[in-house]
Amino acid sequence: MVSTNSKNNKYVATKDIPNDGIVSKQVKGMSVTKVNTFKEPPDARSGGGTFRKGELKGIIRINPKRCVGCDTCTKVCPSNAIAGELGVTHRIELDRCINCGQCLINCPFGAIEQMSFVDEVLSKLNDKNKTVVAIIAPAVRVALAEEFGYPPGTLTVNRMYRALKEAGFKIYDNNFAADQTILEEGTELIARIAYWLFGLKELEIEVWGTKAKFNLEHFEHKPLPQFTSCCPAWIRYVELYYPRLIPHLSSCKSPQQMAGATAKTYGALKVWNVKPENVYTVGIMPCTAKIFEASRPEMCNAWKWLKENGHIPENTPKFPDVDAVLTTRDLAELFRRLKINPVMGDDEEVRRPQEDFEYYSGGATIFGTSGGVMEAAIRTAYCVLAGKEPESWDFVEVRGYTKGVVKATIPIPLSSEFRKLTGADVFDLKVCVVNGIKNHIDAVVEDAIAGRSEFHFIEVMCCPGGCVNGGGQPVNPMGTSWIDPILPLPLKA
Amino acid sequence: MSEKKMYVEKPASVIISRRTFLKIVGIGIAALAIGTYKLTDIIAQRNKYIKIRQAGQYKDDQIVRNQIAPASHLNRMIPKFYREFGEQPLSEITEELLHTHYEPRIKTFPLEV
Repeated sequence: MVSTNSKNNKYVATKDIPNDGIVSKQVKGMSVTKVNTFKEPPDARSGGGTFRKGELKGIIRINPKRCVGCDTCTKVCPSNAIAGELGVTHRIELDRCINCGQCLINCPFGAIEQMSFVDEVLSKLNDKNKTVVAIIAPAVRVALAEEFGYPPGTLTVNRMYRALKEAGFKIYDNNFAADQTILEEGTELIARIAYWLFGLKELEIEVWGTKAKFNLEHFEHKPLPQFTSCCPAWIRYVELYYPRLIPHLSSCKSPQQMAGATAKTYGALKVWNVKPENVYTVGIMPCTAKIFEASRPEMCNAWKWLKENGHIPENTPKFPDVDAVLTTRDLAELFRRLKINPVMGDDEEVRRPQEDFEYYSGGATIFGTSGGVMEAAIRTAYCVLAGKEPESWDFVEVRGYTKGVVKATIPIPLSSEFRKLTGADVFDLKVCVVNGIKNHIDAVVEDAIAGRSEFHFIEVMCCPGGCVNGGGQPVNPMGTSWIDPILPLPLKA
Repeated sequence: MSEKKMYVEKPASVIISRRTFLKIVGIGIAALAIGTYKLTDIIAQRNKYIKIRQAGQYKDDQIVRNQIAPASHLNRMIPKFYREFGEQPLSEITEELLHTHYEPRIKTFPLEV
């Protein structure tokens, strides 16, 4: 049955993947464009330019043999990192590049390639001593099915978990880490507001029945507005182009890095009961910048903490919090090589989490779309500040969809405790969501640096639409990838 | 009085007159230009699949909201994590493991966008 599609679909190898009887849901002609990959070159971590030693350089490259110089990549690049005039073979200036991968998914000629770690992950899956943990980002679950001939937006959660377990992974849903992020980043936001707007030096918040005390003195160096720090391309953009904004960035790691550090400490010691040094964490991300983020040299806090607390020997060689990152496309490639079908069965409406790290909230899963981090933070901050649940969990006014910049004011009725502290009945939370940094970010950032910004919290996603349109996602035929096949003759720069 | 000038078609243009030729070329160029313009429009607005994926994300929100939790602090594994390990948000241990710092990439002056 699948064979009717196989002509159009370059990927589904009919005889390899078992037929599950729900082929009717596959859409004829729905095939994604192949993105070429390459292995890590030996000198990729040598540093230099705007890269520190150990950081992966050149995660994305343009294949000069296939580039026709059409300038599509130049138009979508948020950091002007692409050199080359119209009609001339283009080249990425790595020192300016933020690894977002927008050029890659928009290239109509499939000329842009990505560094891939599929082989490395496969070898670790075969190693019986290793506990290989899959950290699955929210946006992967709405796009993975596209690689197997299904339309965009097809949910694969239960089915993907099953396929990952069959491949030998333990699950640490990145959505659980997104919930951790909201707790940390939301508390940080409330602390900044308490210090800067209400002039408090100390704050007491009731969390799960116990009082938590916060000393606010060190927020002197953390001004408002607070910017989100979940997007690694945005972080590198700030470090390269707006270093003066750094105090405004939330100090929270991205969910992927929180997941890696938690998996190797709490996960290894209290949940799975395995040796922490044998835990191998794999980020499965819709993103190419995450590959870079995992290689940042300071991201080895689990190793440091485990050593300081005597859980691993003093002489253990340094290991990162996240060992490898696969993009959504890479995960599909891994499943294809293992002959596993992650879109088998049709039981997505009912959730029965089996392990700790499979539990996630609705706020966490919308991290993958523009405005999602903001909405999740508002849902929790509302409950903390108001002392009750909001009438509706949908804060539609902050959703980015396809708008470039969204501004909103959320009135939060304060609980009696906060009323006493602040002397106000209602707090107007002013928020801004930047959906795609190209053309949209500069005014917002310059206002914040100059101290003119009216906002308290600003979410920034590098890719238009959010992570669902990230540089690691399947290249969809509704994009520009259909242009190359319809040309009668090959184009060449 | 000067002689009135007259324009006479040369014999070579009997099949397609000069004017007809110009008309054909003109219409052709106009069609090509509008077509290319439309094409760049289509390329610039190709966000249909983004919207569908976003809808998938909000659908997951609806499913999870009723069956597990609508907001992060209501996820019951989160208090478990803090009770057994993290103590509380912004505690010493979560500051060490879940927080980080950032450095300017270029010490002298930032790159111009």
